[in-house]
Amino acid sequence: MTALAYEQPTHDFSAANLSSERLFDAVPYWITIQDRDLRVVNASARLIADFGNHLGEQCYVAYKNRTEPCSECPLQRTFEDGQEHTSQEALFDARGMPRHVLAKTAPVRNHAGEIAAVMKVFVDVTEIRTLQNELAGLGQLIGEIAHDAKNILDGLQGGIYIVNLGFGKGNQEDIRVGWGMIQRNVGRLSSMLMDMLYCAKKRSPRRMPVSLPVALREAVELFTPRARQFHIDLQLKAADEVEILGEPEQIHKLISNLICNAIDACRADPEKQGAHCIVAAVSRDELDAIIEVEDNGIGVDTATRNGMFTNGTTTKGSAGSGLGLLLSQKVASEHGGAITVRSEQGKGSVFTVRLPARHPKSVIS
Amino acid sequence: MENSTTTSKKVLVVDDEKDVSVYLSRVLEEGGFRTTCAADGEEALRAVERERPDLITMDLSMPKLSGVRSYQTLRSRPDLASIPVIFVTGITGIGGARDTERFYRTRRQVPPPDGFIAKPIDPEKVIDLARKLTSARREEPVTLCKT
Repeated sequence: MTALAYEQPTHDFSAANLSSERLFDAVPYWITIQDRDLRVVNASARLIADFGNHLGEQCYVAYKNRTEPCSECPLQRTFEDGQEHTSQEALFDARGMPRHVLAKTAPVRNHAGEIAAVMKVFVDVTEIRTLQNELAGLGQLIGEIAHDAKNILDGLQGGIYIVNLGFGKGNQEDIRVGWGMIQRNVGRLSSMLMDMLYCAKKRSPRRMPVSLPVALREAVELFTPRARQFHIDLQLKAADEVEILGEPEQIHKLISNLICNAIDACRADPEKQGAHCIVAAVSRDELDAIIEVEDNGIGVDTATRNGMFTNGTTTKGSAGSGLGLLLSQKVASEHGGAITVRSEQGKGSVFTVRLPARHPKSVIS
Repeated sequence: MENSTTTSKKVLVVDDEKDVSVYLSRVLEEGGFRTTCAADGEEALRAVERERPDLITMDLSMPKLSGVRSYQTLRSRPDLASIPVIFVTGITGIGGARDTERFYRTRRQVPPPDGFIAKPIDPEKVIDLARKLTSARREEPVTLCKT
Protein backbone atom coordinates (compact mmCIF):
# COMPACT_ATOMS: atom_id res chain seq x y z
CA MET A 1 0.00 0.00 0.00
CA THR A 2 1.38 3.37 -1.01
CA ALA A 3 0.00 6.11 1.10
CA LEU A 4 0.71 9.00 -1.19
CA ALA A 5 0.82 7.39 -4.59
CA TYR A 6 0.49 10.71 -6.33
CA GLU A 7 3.89 12.18 -5.51
CA GLN A 8 7.42 11.12 -4.84
CA PRO A 9 8.76 11.20 -1.28
CA THR A 10 10.51 14.52 -0.72
CA HIS A 11 12.31 13.63 2.51
CA ASP A 12 14.80 10.94 3.31
CA PHE A 13 13.71 9.04 6.37
CA SER A 14 15.96 6.11 5.67
CA ALA A 15 18.02 6.69 8.76
CA ALA A 16 15.05 6.02 10.95
CA ASN A 17 13.60 3.55 8.43
CA LEU A 18 10.44 5.63 8.23
CA SER A 19 8.55 5.40 4.98
CA SER A 20 5.78 7.85 4.16
CA GLU A 21 3.41 4.89 4.35
CA ARG A 22 4.43 4.17 7.94
CA LEU A 23 4.13 7.83 8.83
CA PHE A 24 0.68 7.94 7.26
CA ASP A 25 -0.47 4.99 9.33
CA ALA A 26 1.12 6.37 12.50
CA VAL A 27 -0.95 9.57 12.50
CA PRO A 28 -3.34 9.29 15.47
CA TYR A 29 -6.36 10.37 13.39
CA TRP A 30 -8.61 8.74 10.85
CA ILE A 31 -7.45 9.71 7.33
CA THR A 32 -8.76 8.98 3.85
CA ILE A 33 -7.44 9.88 0.43
CA GLN A 34 -10.29 10.17 -2.04
CA ASP A 35 -10.69 10.73 -5.77
CA ARG A 36 -13.14 12.93 -7.67
CA ASP A 37 -15.79 10.21 -7.60
CA LEU A 38 -15.51 10.37 -3.80
CA ARG A 39 -14.04 6.86 -3.78
CA VAL A 40 -11.63 5.97 -1.00
CA VAL A 41 -8.32 5.26 -2.70
CA ASN A 42 -6.39 5.02 0.52
CA ALA A 43 -7.10 5.02 4.24
CA SER A 44 -4.97 5.08 7.36
CA ALA A 45 -4.55 1.87 9.32
CA ARG A 46 -6.46 3.33 12.25
CA LEU A 47 -9.44 4.18 10.07
CA ILE A 48 -9.47 0.70 8.53
CA ALA A 49 -9.27 -0.84 12.01
CA ASP A 50 -12.24 1.15 13.30
CA PHE A 51 -14.40 1.41 10.19
CA GLY A 52 -13.42 -1.64 8.13
CA ASN A 53 -11.69 -1.78 4.77
CA HIS A 54 -13.76 0.22 2.28
CA LEU A 55 -11.07 0.97 -0.31
CA GLY A 56 -12.69 1.58 -3.68
CA GLU A 57 -16.08 2.47 -2.17
CA GLN A 58 -17.64 5.90 -2.08
CA CYS A 59 -17.27 7.53 1.34
CA TYR A 60 -20.98 8.30 1.76
CA VAL A 61 -21.83 4.62 1.18
CA ALA A 62 -18.96 3.23 3.24
CA TYR A 63 -19.17 5.42 6.30
CA LYS A 64 -22.65 6.98 6.25
CA ASN A 65 -24.98 4.31 4.85
CA ARG A 66 -26.19 6.82 2.27
CA THR A 67 -27.10 6.26 -1.34
CA GLU A 68 -26.25 9.79 -2.45
CA PRO A 69 -23.44 12.24 -1.63
CA CYS A 70 -24.01 14.60 1.31
CA SER A 71 -25.45 18.00 0.38
CA GLU A 72 -22.51 19.94 1.89
CA CYS A 73 -19.47 17.93 0.87
CA PRO A 74 -16.15 19.55 1.93
CA LEU A 75 -14.30 17.09 -0.28
CA GLN A 76 -16.07 18.24 -3.43
CA ARG A 77 -15.49 21.85 -2.43
CA THR A 78 -11.77 21.21 -2.10
CA PHE A 79 -11.73 19.62 -5.57
CA GLU A 80 -13.52 22.73 -6.86
CA ASP A 81 -11.50 25.52 -5.22
CA GLY A 82 -8.31 23.85 -4.04
CA GLN A 83 -8.84 25.22 -0.54
CA GLU A 84 -9.04 23.50 2.83
CA HIS A 85 -12.55 23.00 4.22
CA THR A 86 -13.96 21.77 7.52
CA SER A 87 -17.19 20.05 8.49
CA GLN A 88 -18.90 18.31 11.36
CA GLU A 89 -20.16 14.88 10.43
CA ALA A 90 -21.57 11.68 11.88
CA LEU A 91 -20.13 8.40 10.60
CA PHE A 92 -20.96 4.80 11.43
CA ASP A 93 -18.08 2.61 12.50
CA ALA A 94 -17.59 -1.09 11.75
CA ARG A 95 -19.94 -2.01 14.62
CA GLY A 96 -22.61 0.35 13.34
CA MET A 97 -22.07 2.80 16.19
CA PRO A 98 -22.34 6.53 15.38
CA ARG A 99 -19.06 8.46 15.62
CA HIS A 100 -19.14 12.23 15.63
CA VAL A 101 -16.17 13.80 13.87
CA LEU A 102 -14.65 17.10 12.95
CA ALA A 103 -13.30 16.69 9.43
CA LYS A 104 -10.81 18.76 7.46
CA THR A 105 -10.01 18.38 3.77
CA ALA A 106 -6.88 19.40 1.88
CA PRO A 107 -5.86 18.99 -1.78
CA VAL A 108 -3.16 16.51 -2.81
CA ARG A 109 -1.51 17.82 -5.98
CA ASN A 110 0.51 15.98 -8.64
CA HIS A 111 3.74 17.21 -10.23
CA ALA A 112 1.81 19.45 -12.61
CA GLY A 113 0.15 21.13 -9.63
CA GLU A 114 -3.25 19.65 -10.43
CA ILE A 115 -5.45 18.30 -7.70
CA ALA A 116 -5.11 14.55 -8.02
CA ALA A 117 -6.88 13.63 -4.81
CA VAL A 118 -8.17 15.11 -1.57
CA MET A 119 -7.01 14.12 1.88
CA LYS A 120 -9.62 14.09 4.62
CA VAL A 121 -8.60 13.99 8.27
CA PHE A 122 -11.17 13.12 10.93
CA VAL A 123 -10.94 13.96 14.63
CA ASP A 124 -13.20 11.85 16.84
CA VAL A 125 -15.33 14.14 19.02
CA THR A 126 -17.95 11.54 19.98
CA GLU A 127 -17.26 11.82 23.70
CA ILE A 128 -17.42 15.61 23.61
CA ARG A 129 -20.69 15.43 21.69
CA THR A 130 -22.10 12.93 24.19
CA LEU A 131 -21.19 15.27 27.05
CA GLN A 132 -22.75 18.19 25.20
CA ASN A 133 -25.96 16.21 24.71
CA GLU A 134 -26.03 15.17 28.36
CA LEU A 135 -25.56 18.77 29.49
CA ALA A 136 -28.27 19.98 27.13
CA GLY A 137 -30.51 17.20 28.39
CA LEU A 138 -29.84 18.16 31.99
CA GLY A 139 -30.80 21.76 31.23
CA GLN A 140 -34.00 20.60 29.58
CA LEU A 141 -34.81 18.34 32.52
CA ILE A 142 -34.32 21.19 34.99
CA GLY A 143 -36.67 23.31 32.89
CA GLU A 144 -39.30 20.56 32.91
CA ILE A 145 -38.98 20.10 36.66
CA ALA A 146 -39.24 23.85 37.25
CA HIS A 147 -42.36 23.92 35.10
CA ASP A 148 -43.86 21.06 37.10
CA ALA A 149 -42.91 22.72 40.40
CA LYS A 150 -44.57 25.93 39.26
CA ASN A 151 -47.80 24.08 38.56
CA ILE A 152 -47.64 22.56 42.04
CA LEU A 153 -47.10 26.01 43.55
CA ASP A 154 -50.12 27.31 41.63
CA GLY A 155 -52.17 24.47 43.08
CA LEU A 156 -50.95 25.23 46.61
CA GLN A 157 -51.58 28.93 46.21
CA GLY A 158 -55.06 28.22 44.85
CA GLY A 159 -55.81 25.88 47.74
CA ILE A 160 -54.77 28.49 50.29
CA TYR A 161 -56.83 31.14 48.52
CA ILE A 162 -59.97 28.99 48.58
CA VAL A 163 -59.44 27.88 52.19
CA ASN A 164 -59.12 31.55 53.19
CA LEU A 165 -62.32 32.36 51.33
CA GLY A 166 -63.98 29.51 53.22
CA PHE A 167 -62.78 30.79 56.60
CA GLY A 168 -63.82 34.33 55.73
CA LYS A 169 -67.34 33.34 54.77
CA GLY A 170 -67.72 30.33 57.05
CA ASN A 171 -68.15 28.20 53.93
CA GLN A 172 -67.27 24.58 54.74
CA GLU A 173 -67.38 23.53 51.08
CA ASP A 174 -64.68 26.06 50.14
CA ILE A 175 -62.52 24.86 53.04
CA ARG A 176 -62.98 21.24 51.91
CA VAL A 177 -62.14 22.00 48.26
CA GLY A 178 -59.16 24.23 49.11
CA TRP A 179 -57.78 21.79 51.65
CA GLY A 180 -58.07 18.99 49.09
CA MET A 181 -55.99 21.05 46.66
CA ILE A 182 -53.33 21.67 49.30
CA GLN A 183 -53.14 17.98 50.24
CA ARG A 184 -52.97 16.88 46.61
CA ASN A 185 -50.18 19.31 45.74
CA VAL A 186 -48.15 18.59 48.84
CA GLY A 187 -48.40 14.94 47.77
CA ARG A 188 -47.24 15.80 44.23
CA LEU A 189 -44.34 17.87 45.56
CA SER A 190 -43.31 15.11 47.92
CA SER A 191 -43.48 12.51 45.17
CA MET A 192 -41.49 14.71 42.79
CA LEU A 193 -38.79 15.35 45.37
CA MET A 194 -38.54 11.65 46.22
CA ASP A 195 -38.15 10.84 42.51
CA MET A 196 -35.45 13.50 42.18
CA LEU A 197 -33.61 12.18 45.21
CA TYR A 198 -33.85 8.64 43.87
CA CYS A 199 -32.49 9.73 40.50
CA ALA A 200 -29.63 11.64 42.12
CA LYS A 201 -28.48 8.84 44.43
CA LYS A 202 -26.33 5.86 43.61
CA ARG A 203 -27.57 2.79 45.40
CA SER A 204 -27.70 -0.99 45.28
CA PRO A 205 -31.17 -2.46 45.60
CA ARG A 206 -31.98 -5.10 48.18
CA ARG A 207 -32.19 -8.53 46.65
CA MET A 208 -35.48 -10.14 47.56
CA PRO A 209 -37.53 -12.52 45.42
CA VAL A 210 -40.10 -10.47 43.51
CA SER A 211 -42.90 -12.14 41.57
CA LEU A 212 -43.38 -10.09 38.41
CA PRO A 213 -46.88 -11.43 37.57
CA VAL A 214 -48.00 -10.41 41.07
CA ALA A 215 -46.32 -6.99 40.79
CA LEU A 216 -47.86 -6.44 37.37
CA ARG A 217 -51.32 -7.53 38.55
CA GLU A 218 -51.14 -5.12 41.50
CA ALA A 219 -50.16 -2.22 39.26
CA VAL A 220 -52.86 -3.03 36.70
CA GLU A 221 -55.49 -3.21 39.46
CA LEU A 222 -54.25 0.10 40.83
CA PHE A 223 -54.57 1.86 37.47
CA THR A 224 -57.73 0.18 36.15
CA PRO A 225 -60.12 2.81 37.58
CA ARG A 226 -58.02 5.60 36.06
CA ALA A 227 -57.88 3.82 32.70
CA ARG A 228 -61.65 3.29 32.74
CA GLN A 229 -62.15 6.97 33.50
CA PHE A 230 -60.58 7.73 30.12
CA HIS A 231 -62.22 4.75 28.31
CA ILE A 232 -58.93 2.90 27.97
CA ASP A 233 -58.92 -0.91 27.96
CA LEU A 234 -56.10 -1.93 30.34
CA GLN A 235 -55.23 -5.62 29.93
CA LEU A 236 -52.92 -7.92 31.85
CA LYS A 237 -51.06 -10.83 30.26
CA ALA A 238 -49.15 -12.81 32.83
CA ALA A 239 -49.26 -16.58 32.64
CA ASP A 240 -46.38 -18.38 34.34
CA GLU A 241 -44.44 -17.41 37.40
CA VAL A 242 -41.45 -15.19 36.65
CA GLU A 243 -39.28 -14.12 39.53
CA ILE A 244 -36.39 -11.72 39.86
CA LEU A 245 -34.24 -10.69 42.78
CA GLY A 246 -34.76 -7.08 43.67
CA GLU A 247 -36.56 -4.43 45.64
CA PRO A 248 -40.35 -4.91 45.45
CA GLU A 249 -41.20 -1.21 46.00
CA GLN A 250 -38.91 -0.08 43.22
CA ILE A 251 -40.18 -2.72 40.79
CA HIS A 252 -43.72 -1.63 41.61
CA LYS A 253 -42.72 1.96 40.94
CA LEU A 254 -41.11 1.05 37.62
CA ILE A 255 -44.20 -0.84 36.39
CA SER A 256 -46.55 1.87 37.68
CA ASN A 257 -44.55 4.55 35.85
CA LEU A 258 -44.79 2.65 32.57
CA ILE A 259 -48.55 2.07 32.90
CA CYS A 260 -49.15 5.65 34.01
CA ASN A 261 -47.13 6.86 31.03
CA ALA A 262 -49.13 4.64 28.67
CA ILE A 263 -52.40 6.07 30.01
CA ASP A 264 -51.11 9.59 29.45
CA ALA A 265 -49.98 8.68 25.93
CA CYS A 266 -53.52 7.43 25.18
CA ARG A 267 -55.10 10.53 26.71
CA ALA A 268 -52.91 12.74 24.52
CA ASP A 269 -54.20 10.99 21.40
CA PRO A 270 -57.64 12.26 20.34
CA GLU A 271 -57.65 10.24 17.10
CA LYS A 272 -58.42 6.87 18.68
CA GLN A 273 -60.54 8.11 21.57
CA GLY A 274 -62.66 5.24 22.91
CA ALA A 275 -60.51 2.62 21.15
CA HIS A 276 -57.40 2.89 23.29
CA CYS A 277 -55.82 -0.22 24.65
CA ILE A 278 -52.87 -0.90 26.96
CA VAL A 279 -51.44 -4.39 27.37
CA ALA A 280 -49.12 -5.05 30.31
CA ALA A 281 -47.39 -8.41 29.89
CA VAL A 282 -44.72 -10.41 31.63
CA SER A 283 -42.79 -13.34 30.19
CA ARG A 284 -39.28 -14.76 30.29
CA ASP A 285 -36.68 -16.18 27.97
CA GLU A 286 -33.52 -18.14 28.67
CA LEU A 287 -31.92 -15.41 30.78
CA ASP A 288 -34.26 -12.52 31.32
CA ALA A 289 -37.59 -11.65 32.79
CA ILE A 290 -39.40 -9.42 30.30
CA ILE A 291 -42.02 -6.82 31.15
CA GLU A 292 -43.75 -5.19 28.21
CA VAL A 293 -46.19 -2.30 28.35
CA GLU A 294 -47.75 -1.61 24.96
CA ASP A 295 -50.17 1.18 24.15
CA ASN A 296 -51.84 2.46 21.00
CA GLY A 297 -51.63 6.07 22.17
CA ILE A 298 -50.02 9.07 20.56
CA GLY A 299 -46.51 7.59 20.14
CA VAL A 300 -43.42 9.71 19.71
CA ASP A 301 -41.05 10.71 16.93
CA THR A 302 -37.45 9.60 16.77
CA ALA A 303 -36.02 12.71 18.44
CA THR A 304 -38.37 12.41 21.40
CA ARG A 305 -37.68 8.70 21.68
CA ASN A 306 -33.94 9.31 21.73
CA GLY A 307 -34.28 11.88 24.51
CA MET A 308 -36.61 9.80 26.66
CA PHE A 309 -34.04 8.26 28.94
CA THR A 310 -31.55 11.11 29.03
CA ASN A 311 -33.36 14.40 29.39
CA GLY A 312 -36.79 13.59 30.73
CA THR A 313 -38.51 14.07 27.40
CA THR A 314 -42.19 13.46 27.92
CA THR A 315 -45.27 12.83 25.82
CA LYS A 316 -47.53 14.20 28.49
CA GLY A 317 -47.72 17.87 27.57
CA SER A 318 -47.68 19.75 30.84
CA ALA A 319 -48.83 16.77 32.88
CA GLY A 320 -45.40 15.52 33.81
CA SER A 321 -41.74 16.34 33.97
CA GLY A 322 -40.67 13.07 32.37
CA LEU A 323 -38.78 12.26 35.55
CA GLY A 324 -40.71 8.98 35.72
CA LEU A 325 -38.93 7.45 32.74
CA LEU A 326 -35.52 8.48 34.03
CA LEU A 327 -36.39 6.89 37.34
CA SER A 328 -37.68 3.73 35.63
CA GLN A 329 -34.47 3.41 33.69
CA LYS A 330 -32.45 3.87 36.87
CA VAL A 331 -34.45 1.17 38.66
CA ALA A 332 -33.98 -1.21 35.73
CA SER A 333 -30.27 -0.52 35.52
CA GLU A 334 -29.77 -0.95 39.26
CA HIS A 335 -31.44 -4.34 38.96
CA GLY A 336 -28.98 -5.31 36.23
CA GLY A 337 -31.44 -4.71 33.41
CA ALA A 338 -32.43 -2.14 30.83
CA ILE A 339 -35.45 -0.49 29.21
CA THR A 340 -35.92 -0.09 25.48
CA VAL A 341 -38.71 1.60 23.60
CA ARG A 342 -40.23 1.16 20.17
CA SER A 343 -42.56 3.93 19.18
CA GLU A 344 -44.24 5.37 16.16
CA GLN A 345 -45.87 8.78 16.14
CA GLY A 346 -49.64 8.48 16.00
CA LYS A 347 -49.59 4.70 16.42
CA GLY A 348 -48.30 3.93 19.89
CA SER A 349 -45.35 2.70 21.92
CA VAL A 350 -43.97 -0.49 23.44
CA PHE A 351 -41.72 -0.22 26.48
CA THR A 352 -39.73 -3.37 27.16
CA VAL A 353 -37.92 -3.97 30.45
CA ARG A 354 -35.47 -6.84 30.64
CA LEU A 355 -34.28 -7.87 34.10
CA PRO A 356 -32.13 -10.87 35.01
CA ALA A 357 -34.58 -13.66 35.85
CA ARG A 358 -34.21 -15.73 38.93
CA HIS A 359 -33.35 -19.28 37.93
CA PRO A 360 -36.50 -21.44 37.95
CA LYS A 361 -34.86 -24.06 40.18
CA SER A 362 -34.35 -21.55 42.92
CA VAL A 363 -37.91 -20.25 42.79
CA ILE A 364 -39.62 -20.79 46.12
CA SER A 365 -42.97 -22.39 45.42
CA MET B 1 -71.39 49.04 40.35
CA GLU B 2 -68.64 47.19 38.55
CA ASN B 3 -69.77 44.02 40.20
CA SER B 4 -73.26 44.45 38.92
CA THR B 5 -72.03 45.02 35.37
CA THR B 6 -70.00 41.83 35.43
CA THR B 7 -72.48 39.64 37.24
CA SER B 8 -73.82 38.05 34.11
CA LYS B 9 -70.50 37.78 32.29
CA LYS B 10 -69.30 34.31 31.56
CA VAL B 11 -65.62 33.30 31.48
CA LEU B 12 -64.30 30.11 29.92
CA VAL B 13 -61.24 28.93 31.88
CA VAL B 14 -59.02 26.66 29.78
CA ASP B 15 -56.27 24.78 31.61
CA ASP B 16 -55.20 21.15 31.75
CA GLU B 17 -54.11 21.58 35.37
CA LYS B 18 -57.34 21.03 37.25
CA ASP B 19 -56.16 22.88 40.34
CA VAL B 20 -55.28 25.95 38.28
CA SER B 21 -58.75 25.83 36.68
CA VAL B 22 -60.41 25.58 40.07
CA TYR B 23 -58.27 28.40 41.43
CA LEU B 24 -58.86 30.76 38.50
CA SER B 25 -62.58 29.96 38.43
CA ARG B 26 -62.92 30.67 42.12
CA VAL B 27 -61.03 33.96 41.77
CA LEU B 28 -63.27 35.03 38.89
CA GLU B 29 -66.42 33.97 40.73
CA GLU B 30 -65.31 36.17 43.63
CA GLY B 31 -65.14 38.98 41.07
CA GLY B 32 -68.74 38.34 40.11
CA PHE B 33 -68.23 36.27 36.97
CA ARG B 34 -69.81 32.99 36.02
CA THR B 35 -67.27 30.38 34.91
CA THR B 36 -67.05 27.21 32.95
CA CYS B 37 -63.92 25.08 32.42
CA ALA B 38 -62.20 23.15 29.62
CA ALA B 39 -59.19 20.88 30.06
CA ASP B 40 -57.59 21.14 26.61
CA GLY B 41 -57.72 23.11 23.39
CA GLU B 42 -60.23 20.87 21.63
CA GLU B 43 -62.60 20.88 24.58
CA ALA B 44 -62.18 24.65 24.71
CA LEU B 45 -63.30 25.12 21.09
CA ARG B 46 -66.37 22.95 21.70
CA ALA B 47 -67.13 24.94 24.87
CA VAL B 48 -66.79 28.24 23.01
CA GLU B 49 -69.31 27.08 20.40
CA ARG B 50 -71.68 25.90 23.09
CA GLU B 51 -71.30 28.59 25.75
CA ARG B 52 -70.32 31.68 23.73
CA PRO B 53 -68.38 33.12 26.69
CA ASP B 54 -67.66 36.80 27.17
CA LEU B 55 -64.01 36.11 27.97
CA ILE B 56 -61.56 33.21 27.69
CA THR B 57 -58.50 32.55 29.84
CA MET B 58 -56.21 30.20 27.94
CA ASP B 59 -53.27 28.17 29.21
CA LEU B 60 -50.56 27.83 26.58
CA SER B 61 -49.09 24.39 27.25
CA MET B 62 -51.79 21.79 26.91
CA PRO B 63 -52.10 18.33 25.38
CA LYS B 64 -54.12 17.63 22.22
CA LEU B 65 -54.47 21.19 20.93
CA SER B 66 -52.21 23.81 22.52
CA GLY B 67 -53.50 27.16 23.73
CA VAL B 68 -51.68 28.88 20.88
CA ARG B 69 -53.32 26.71 18.23
CA SER B 70 -56.74 27.10 19.84
CA TYR B 71 -56.22 30.85 19.90
CA GLN B 72 -55.29 30.86 16.21
CA THR B 73 -58.45 28.91 15.42
CA LEU B 74 -60.59 31.34 17.44
CA ARG B 75 -59.08 34.35 15.72
CA SER B 76 -59.66 32.80 12.29
CA ARG B 77 -63.39 32.44 12.92
CA PRO B 78 -65.29 35.69 12.22
CA ASP B 79 -68.09 34.73 14.61
CA LEU B 80 -65.66 34.03 17.49
CA ALA B 81 -62.79 36.39 16.76
CA SER B 82 -64.13 39.20 18.92
CA ILE B 83 -64.15 37.20 22.17
CA PRO B 84 -61.32 38.60 24.32
CA VAL B 85 -58.64 36.04 25.15
CA ILE B 86 -56.19 36.18 28.03
CA PHE B 87 -53.11 33.96 27.88
CA VAL B 88 -52.27 32.35 31.20
CA THR B 89 -48.55 31.78 31.18
CA GLY B 90 -45.44 31.28 33.23
CA ILE B 91 -43.82 33.75 30.86
CA THR B 92 -42.04 35.69 33.58
CA GLY B 93 -40.58 32.77 35.49
CA ILE B 94 -37.94 30.09 35.16
CA GLY B 95 -39.16 27.43 32.80
CA GLY B 96 -41.34 29.87 30.96
CA ALA B 97 -39.08 29.84 27.93
CA ARG B 98 -41.25 27.35 26.09
CA ASP B 99 -44.35 29.46 26.59
CA THR B 100 -42.45 32.60 25.65
CA GLU B 101 -41.24 31.05 22.44
CA ARG B 102 -44.74 29.92 21.51
CA PHE B 103 -46.09 33.35 22.22
CA TYR B 104 -43.57 35.12 20.02
CA ARG B 105 -44.13 32.61 17.28
CA THR B 106 -47.82 33.33 17.51
CA ARG B 107 -47.26 37.05 17.43
CA ARG B 108 -45.83 36.80 13.96
CA GLN B 109 -48.87 34.94 12.71
CA VAL B 110 -51.88 36.44 14.48
CA PRO B 111 -52.67 39.57 16.51
CA PRO B 112 -51.50 39.42 20.14
CA PRO B 113 -54.00 38.28 22.76
CA ASP B 114 -56.03 40.82 24.73
CA GLY B 115 -54.12 40.23 27.93
CA PHE B 116 -51.73 38.10 29.92
CA ILE B 117 -52.03 36.52 33.34
CA ALA B 118 -48.58 35.56 34.59
CA LYS B 119 -48.23 32.75 37.07
CA PRO B 120 -48.19 32.83 40.02
CA ILE B 121 -51.70 34.18 39.73
CA ASP B 122 -52.52 37.49 41.40
CA PRO B 123 -56.28 37.37 42.15
CA GLU B 124 -56.78 41.14 42.17
CA LYS B 125 -55.03 41.63 38.84
CA VAL B 126 -57.03 38.79 37.31
CA ILE B 127 -60.34 40.35 38.36
CA ASP B 128 -59.26 43.83 37.22
CA LEU B 129 -58.20 42.56 33.81
CA ALA B 130 -61.31 40.44 33.34
CA ARG B 131 -63.56 43.40 34.25
CA LYS B 132 -61.68 45.72 31.94
CA LEU B 133 -61.90 43.37 28.98
CA THR B 134 -65.55 42.44 29.46
CA SER B 135 -66.61 46.05 30.10
CA ALA B 136 -64.88 47.27 26.96
CA ARG B 137 -66.59 44.61 25.00
CA ARG B 138 -70.02 45.62 26.27
CA GLU B 139 -69.69 48.86 24.35
CA GLU B 140 -68.97 47.11 21.10
CA PRO B 141 -71.85 46.68 18.70
CA VAL B 142 -70.91 43.02 18.18
CA THR B 143 -73.65 40.70 19.40
CA LEU B 144 -72.41 37.50 17.85
CA CYS B 145 -71.50 35.93 21.13
CA LYS B 146 -75.00 35.68 22.49
CA THR B 147 -76.42 32.20 22.39
